Amino acid sequence: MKKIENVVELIFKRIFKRKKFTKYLKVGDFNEWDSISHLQFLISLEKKFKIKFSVSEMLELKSIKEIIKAIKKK
Amino acid sequence: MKKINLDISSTSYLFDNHNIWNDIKKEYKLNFNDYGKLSSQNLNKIRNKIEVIFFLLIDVIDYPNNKINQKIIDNILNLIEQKIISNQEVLFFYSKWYPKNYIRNIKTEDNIKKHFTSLETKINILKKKFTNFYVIDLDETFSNHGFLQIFDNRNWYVARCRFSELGLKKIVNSLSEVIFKIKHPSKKVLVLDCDNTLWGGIIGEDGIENIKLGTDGVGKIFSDFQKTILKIKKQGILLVLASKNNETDVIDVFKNHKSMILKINDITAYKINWRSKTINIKELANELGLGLDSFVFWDDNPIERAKMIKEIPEVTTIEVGEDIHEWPSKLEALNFFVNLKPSKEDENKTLQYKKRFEFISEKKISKNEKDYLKSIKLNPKIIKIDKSNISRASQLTLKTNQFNLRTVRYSLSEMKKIISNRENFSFLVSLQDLYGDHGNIGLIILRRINSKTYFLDTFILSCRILGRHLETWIIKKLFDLIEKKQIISLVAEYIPTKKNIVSKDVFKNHGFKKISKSEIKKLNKNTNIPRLANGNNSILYFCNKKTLKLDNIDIYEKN
Repeated sequence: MKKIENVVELIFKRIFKRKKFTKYLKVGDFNEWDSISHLQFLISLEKKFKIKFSVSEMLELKSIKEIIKAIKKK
Repeated sequence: MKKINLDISSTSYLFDNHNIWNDIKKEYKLNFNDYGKLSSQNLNKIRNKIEVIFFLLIDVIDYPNNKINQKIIDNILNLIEQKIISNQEVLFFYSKWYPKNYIRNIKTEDNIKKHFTSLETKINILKKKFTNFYVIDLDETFSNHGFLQIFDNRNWYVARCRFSELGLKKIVNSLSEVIFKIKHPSKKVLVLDCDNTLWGGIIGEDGIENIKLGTDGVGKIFSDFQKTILKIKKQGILLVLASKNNETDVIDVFKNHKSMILKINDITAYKINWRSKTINIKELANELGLGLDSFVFWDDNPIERAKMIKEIPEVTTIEVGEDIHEWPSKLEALNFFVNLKPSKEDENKTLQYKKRFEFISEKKISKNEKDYLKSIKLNPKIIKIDKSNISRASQLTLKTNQFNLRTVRYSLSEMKKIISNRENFSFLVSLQDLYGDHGNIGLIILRRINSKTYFLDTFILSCRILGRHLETWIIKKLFDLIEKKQIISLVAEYIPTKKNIVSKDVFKNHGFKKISKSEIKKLNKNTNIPRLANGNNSILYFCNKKTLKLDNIDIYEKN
């Protein structure tokens, strides 16, 4: 399931305007990734994958690794 | 110019860093106050500042008790009053949506509704009293999309924002629309076409009995459209007609058609003639003393619209669409005419401007118009009449009234006789341009007078392609073609009718000379064609290639 990772990477780069992307990045690693842009990021992913995160997921998902795992579950 | 400051307060979070706000941030400087705090922040006067308040009823409901926290409401009213008095512009956006159980409300009265009505009443009093206070009921735009799409409980629990992305988009749109309206003057004039705009059909062709207007079918749509126009007029907008028609035909409809909602007195000024609408609108602007940017143009014809957009971009041309059943609501929804700062003068405007308006006529074709016609790639063709199109040829003689020089009607069998007679020479003309294929829209029938002369028995152009100077191209082709048959001159006749005034000067403008009475006698003796110059006011012309005048033929010359 390489494809999900690629899409997440694409959206990540678009929202945060950054070139580097690894699975281990998480909220707060750089200034632009604050709690608000984090929500924007999650909502963009929801739209792309046509899924819906629950409230607790939105509050608990912090790293790229966790996010990808959550998307795969849907 | 300095950016306008928007000072935004809200009862809940509005995702102020979301990229949905990016566009509006380019035009205005946005300052978001902490959400939930509607107490007065900086009341010191900053120039160029607009106060914006978003009030969501759902944020102030005291749930267990099912009522509204009165303190909060008092605070808001206080705040609004303070800001209004300090002479700032204050925009109050509100939504009174909250989750309801409509079945329960069947038998019990909803307290929240009752409480809120009292706040709404107070706010509405303020908005009438103060010109700098604007109240926007967001529910009116939200309900078009459905509240469940606009609000998002998940975003509330995650981020204290009530709205979904769609909801945010709608409030941002609404905000920029309202500010644009406040800062830009409203349009003052609605320019209307007549045929297929105020009524269905073409008055010059169908006649007053047959146009569609009234209480049933398509006619009902046009009636409703006229009602909406009248409503706009009552708000102080001037109505103006720009129509390619005979003036008397249109005025006749206004005065004598029983289903006309609009009366001639509702119209401030009109240009009903066969000239380009762009020239007409420029003249109207001059005569009314208004800028072209205060004009809005409504015309069913995409060619007229494209021409207007190209030649006078200052005029707001409405993409009216083909679904005429949408027109009444489309016109109603246009923001251009909304004047957020109306004055009493507005109501008398029609009269004032009417006095100012005078009819001036002008015959020159503008350079702009020529350039336009060249650019739409007009491509006319001579079409031989055969079995496949002979009924169209007959139909053109039967149906065309306006550009029809003699208005002689030929049934299909008569037409067959004409075509089979080798003495005669006839053809159809087709036209294509950038806007599509107009089909066979012209008809020429020539009858032989003698070895050197033809008589132009029929010269017809369908009204839907008039204004393109196609007659000039046809006359040129005509001479090219008869030359091959060693015929050098033409006799032509114009028989005036009530409806063909548009073609009155065609021969004169192309260098044809009137024929004297004695020559007419001679002609009538020597030919077997019907007696010429018989009827009232009929005029006979003569022309050969030397005297021919082809002023606008360059429109058709390919570069």
